[in-house]
Amino acid sequence: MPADAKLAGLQRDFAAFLLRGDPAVAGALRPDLPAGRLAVYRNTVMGSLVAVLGHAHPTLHRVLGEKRFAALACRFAAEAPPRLPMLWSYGAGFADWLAGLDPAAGLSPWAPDLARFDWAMHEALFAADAEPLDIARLAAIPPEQAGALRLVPHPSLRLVRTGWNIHALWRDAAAAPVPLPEAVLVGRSPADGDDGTAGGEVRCARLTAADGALAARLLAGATLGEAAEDEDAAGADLQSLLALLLQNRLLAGFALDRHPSFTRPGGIDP
Amino acid sequence: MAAAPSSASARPVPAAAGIGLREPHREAFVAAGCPIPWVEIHPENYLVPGGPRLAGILRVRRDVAVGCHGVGLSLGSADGLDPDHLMRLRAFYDRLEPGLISEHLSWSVTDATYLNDLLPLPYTEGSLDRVRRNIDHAQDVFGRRILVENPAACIAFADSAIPEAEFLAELAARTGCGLLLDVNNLHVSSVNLGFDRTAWLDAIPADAVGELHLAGHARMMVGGEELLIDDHGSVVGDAVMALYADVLDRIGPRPVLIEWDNDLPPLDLLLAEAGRAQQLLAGRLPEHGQLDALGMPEVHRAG
Repeated sequence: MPADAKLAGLQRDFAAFLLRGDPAVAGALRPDLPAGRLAVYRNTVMGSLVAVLGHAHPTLHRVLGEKRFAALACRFAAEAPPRLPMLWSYGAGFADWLAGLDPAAGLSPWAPDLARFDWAMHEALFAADAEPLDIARLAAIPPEQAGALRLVPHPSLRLVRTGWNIHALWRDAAAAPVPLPEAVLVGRSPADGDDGTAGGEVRCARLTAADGALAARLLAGATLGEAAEDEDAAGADLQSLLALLLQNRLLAGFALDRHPSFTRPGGIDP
Repeated sequence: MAAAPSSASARPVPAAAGIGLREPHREAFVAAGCPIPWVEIHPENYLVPGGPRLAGILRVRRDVAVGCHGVGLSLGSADGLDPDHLMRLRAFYDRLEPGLISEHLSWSVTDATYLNDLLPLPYTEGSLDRVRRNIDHAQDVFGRRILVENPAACIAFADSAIPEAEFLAELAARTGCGLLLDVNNLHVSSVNLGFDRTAWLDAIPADAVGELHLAGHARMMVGGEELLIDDHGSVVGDAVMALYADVLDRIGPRPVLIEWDNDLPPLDLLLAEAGRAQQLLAGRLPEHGQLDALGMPEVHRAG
């Protein structure tokens, strides 16, 4: 067997032990050393992945408790181990994985949404930087054209729409999960200056379900006019939502739809 | 291949004690005026699109030399190195301009799965050649020399025919890479696997050693026997400090680093640990002005 293929086989066997406890790799060990020592490596790998998932999902970890969280995280790590060596990026699929579990297994129905919220907060911290939108530019738009505006969100902006009180669960350790249609807007407000706090701070704000529907359309690229017509956004407060986004500097720009007659043939804007 | 020199604008890592800088300490470290000549980071923690972590480490880099100690390249992978990860690291190194780059004699990646540990290799002719090609590949992409660190282990493979120190010496000779001598790992492995530290050190080419690591380890009962676990979770033990003094006597002053990853202490305690390491180092530094005469300047630009 070529040397690389032999080494590859050993590494596959080792991985199968680390993730699933498959004992085949023990046969390759020096015979004078107890094979039980392999457990040290399995404990390190699984324990550190559970810790990484817990770090990225602090609210879910707190609400579920250490034991229940660790049991779920361990199963996830064995089924969907990291693909990249940047562990800050590990756990993107945890919420969907939780949502796909058999309901008969007794997972709390709010857990996937809480995981989505935690992941949005986590991911916002590492998103790309962008210059915030200059409010003066927006203020210069004539009111009759406002409906044709499309917003460009800051790269860190995330929206989590849910049927549970996830914002209260995040804010208040004493809160218990209750059904409540709402949405949470998450983003990193750019910081001033270039001292040790450069890069900004992640914040979140609770929205009503209607404001959440409006925000979802806007973040998906709808114009203000299109978004306001959305049925689910009936009763939404566009002015307050825009103020929230602007005050927290969570917009990176905007585009203004031109009247079709202003567009050159071929659709290329000057 | 020939080892490329470090880039002209990289701030060199001095032959002095530094600390592994972890995120919970970063702001306090800057607030304290970056009170140590160099720090080491795990580059994978900073391979992010943006945000305060990346901005923060670039801020640190303005004031002190930075070494990068990779934990994800997997020099021992049978499948070769991940070209995407190499390019990510290279882009980060181009921006940060670290004074040193190091990796491990271990593997973490198989079948495109990243196993979050530094796993042991069988020391065979086949794996020697595989690791040699992987180091060549990394040094080609980075355009500079890397240091390769001896691992901490509690298992070994029946196939292993080459003593670890000879394996490392051979890699240095064949690739031009340098070595990162982790004194704690040497102590831990020698106790767990029952090999002779003196013979190990005798086989290491002193000229190739560009950096030393120190850390604490734990004692753990596993299946009825006591093992040393390289957990980087406590002060440097007496046995490791004594071995460090021995290493300094053998190879001379080098950049030395305190690693602490679990149960992080207050920053002051970490700096005090670096102070202890510096004391042993300072006692062996030549008088001012003697460095060139001793042929030591490459230490200041090691890597």
